[in-house]
Amino acid sequence: MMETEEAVRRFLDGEEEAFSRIVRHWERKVYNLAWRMVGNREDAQDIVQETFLSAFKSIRGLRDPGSFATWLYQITLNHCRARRRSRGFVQSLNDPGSDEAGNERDLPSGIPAKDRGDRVETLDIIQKAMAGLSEDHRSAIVLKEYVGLSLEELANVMECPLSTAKSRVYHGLKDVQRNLKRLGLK
Amino acid sequence: MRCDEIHEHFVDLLYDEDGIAPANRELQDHVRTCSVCCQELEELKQTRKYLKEWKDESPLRSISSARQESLLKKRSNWTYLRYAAVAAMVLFCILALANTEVTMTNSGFSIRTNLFRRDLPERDYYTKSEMRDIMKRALDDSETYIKDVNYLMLQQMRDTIERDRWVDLRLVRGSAARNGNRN
Repeated sequence: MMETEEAVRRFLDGEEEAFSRIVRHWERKVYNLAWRMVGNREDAQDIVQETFLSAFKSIRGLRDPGSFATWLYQITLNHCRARRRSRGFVQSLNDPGSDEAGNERDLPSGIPAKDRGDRVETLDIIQKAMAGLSEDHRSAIVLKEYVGLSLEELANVMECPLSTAKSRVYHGLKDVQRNLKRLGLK
Repeated sequence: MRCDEIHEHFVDLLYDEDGIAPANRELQDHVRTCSVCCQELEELKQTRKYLKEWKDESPLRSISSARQESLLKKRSNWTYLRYAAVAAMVLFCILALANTEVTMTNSGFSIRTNLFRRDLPERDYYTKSEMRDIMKRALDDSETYIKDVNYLMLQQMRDTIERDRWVDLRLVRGSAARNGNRN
């Protein structure tokens, strides 16, 4: 985190190369956050580009380099929201996943075919269960479970009180649990 | 604590960010003794385990390298432009110092510099091409002169003929009038 702070300071001092270091460091995190928010790899890739473009344009307005992560996650979530809105994104639990075919991509090749199939199926179910969440619950679950933010950081990113953040995580988890049951995972 | 109050604090138990605080001790005691809450907490833990199945992956295309390339390209474009501007300025200064004259004529344009000009010694002869030019100009001049003279001569001849014709005509008319009176 200190590394990012230093890179942001250097960039603000006019060292353009520092932004490349920031991108290298945060690209994967932003991509995975976007992927879990929109459920589609191609859209996630576009969102990564849009996010860093927005960040590049407005980073000079960032008052505290220490809050870069919060700020970057907020930009990412805004782009995810805009993307979902532009796609008229309403996914029901019975819809096929938007990029299920890609789910085999990262499974280790040594896994037997049956287990491999089971894992792909489990992953599809989880993705569908997540897709069935409301925007706020989904953001809360992704930020907490996958990005690994603390509840306080989550509240900062979502710009809500700590109690609201906790409530969103709890209800998000309950919704996922309910969706998983409906999809037959439990 | 009632079960519905406990539910609001499940997140504290699930993530336990503050460690085992005294407030959480009360929660844990309740969960240990209440089977409903205990089961719900276990189910939430299981849900979290399922969620962990969705692993991170690498972006489809890394934009950091693309951005690096575009930055380098942008920089090299600016560098080339800067070099070109400096080269143009140097060239302009040299031309200015050399008192360059650019002349545009119908047959094209010519550039002449006076940087290393030296006065040529006087000559008392013409080169072959100069002679050719002089001859050509002389011939052209003489030809034009002859044409002009011929034209003037023709003009005078015409005037003379015209004048004689009028005189003859007057004579003829006079003699005709005289013959008429006589008759």
